[in-house]
Amino acid sequence: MITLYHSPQTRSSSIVWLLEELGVPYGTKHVTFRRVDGTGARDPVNPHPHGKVPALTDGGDTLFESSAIALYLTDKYRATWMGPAAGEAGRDAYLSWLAYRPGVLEPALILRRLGTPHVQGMMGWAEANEVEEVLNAHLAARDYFLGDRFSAVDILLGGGIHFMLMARMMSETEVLKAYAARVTARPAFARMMAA
Amino acid sequence: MITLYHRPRTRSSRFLWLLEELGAPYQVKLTTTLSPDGTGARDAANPHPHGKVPAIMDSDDGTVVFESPAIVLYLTDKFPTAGIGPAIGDKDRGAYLSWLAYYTGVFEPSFMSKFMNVEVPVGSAGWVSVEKMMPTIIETLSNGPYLLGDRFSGADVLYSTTFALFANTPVKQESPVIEAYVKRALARPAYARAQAREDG
Repeated sequence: MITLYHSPQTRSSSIVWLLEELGVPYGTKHVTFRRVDGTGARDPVNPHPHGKVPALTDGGDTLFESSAIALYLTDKYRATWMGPAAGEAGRDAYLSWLAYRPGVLEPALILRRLGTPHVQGMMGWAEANEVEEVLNAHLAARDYFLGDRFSAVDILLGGGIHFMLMARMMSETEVLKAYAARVTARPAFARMMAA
Repeated sequence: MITLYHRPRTRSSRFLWLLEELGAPYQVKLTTTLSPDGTGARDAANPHPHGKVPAIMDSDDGTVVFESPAIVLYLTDKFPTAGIGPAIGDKDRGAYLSWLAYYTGVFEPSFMSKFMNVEVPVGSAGWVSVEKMMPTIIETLSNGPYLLGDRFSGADVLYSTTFALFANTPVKQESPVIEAYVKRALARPAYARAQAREDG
């Protein structure tokens, strides 16, 4: 049985959305964590090494970090296609864009908001304006990150873009607006919001 | 055949090591990237969307993979005989995926925040401060000796080289556990073979 360590309206909501898309049975355990305003405390039942969300357990497996959880779930539960399997066409882009969310999108946009200058060549991510250019160019040419098919990348990276647009941490363009509208129109997104 | 887009003495160097560990057929394509001092230029032949390294191309089917944890996973899944990447269904797969994702989402931004003197915003950033992160890593490696326990994996290629890189910088971590870990990992024969190919 899958247990998601979750707190509503946080990063773990993406995993609720993914689980709803996959249609697999799961339970959620609501946990507290330290919030930006200093309230809240770590919940000792949460297996995440820093008491953050999401974390997930499934049988004897314990996972932390959103992209790892998404990959684990989409590799294991394949009745609903949410991403290419190892060896399947598109696996390269799937792995790359899943890693792009925590490795590039998040640090680039958060550090821009904090006013930290970008140091080209030293930071593992790209300058925020360049991230926006790449995402706009990629999505101008296709409906979803992997082309015609919606995948877990559109939940993690797509959900991230939706959130960054709402938080005004990204410039709104017609391409990104249309893309965010497309992915958030999915019934599983509505079920996640209602959960 | 795997083509590694590589610039000597950068984040792509450790992929020579990984490819040597895997015994994978590969070739190195030397490329240029923009440097912190403003020198260097993007190479149009490099398929990375930001012109950075590493990126790989697999000529078996023309696939392109970018971002270090994605490349590690792609390669260890494709070349499983070396046994340094737990396969789907393996009891260590969950930990392997988690540490790979943690590398890019927590480890790197955490050190870079310290380097830039940025206070990590609790709850809004996906990462934590180095001071919060290191006890977790030290505890894991104390039980180790590797991130997955007694099993060396592709994740260790990322973490050990990064610690080695910090050895003479202000973000160096004084820890006998980390020092022993780096020494143990870098003593592997494949690391020496990779060093011999550093310049192409």
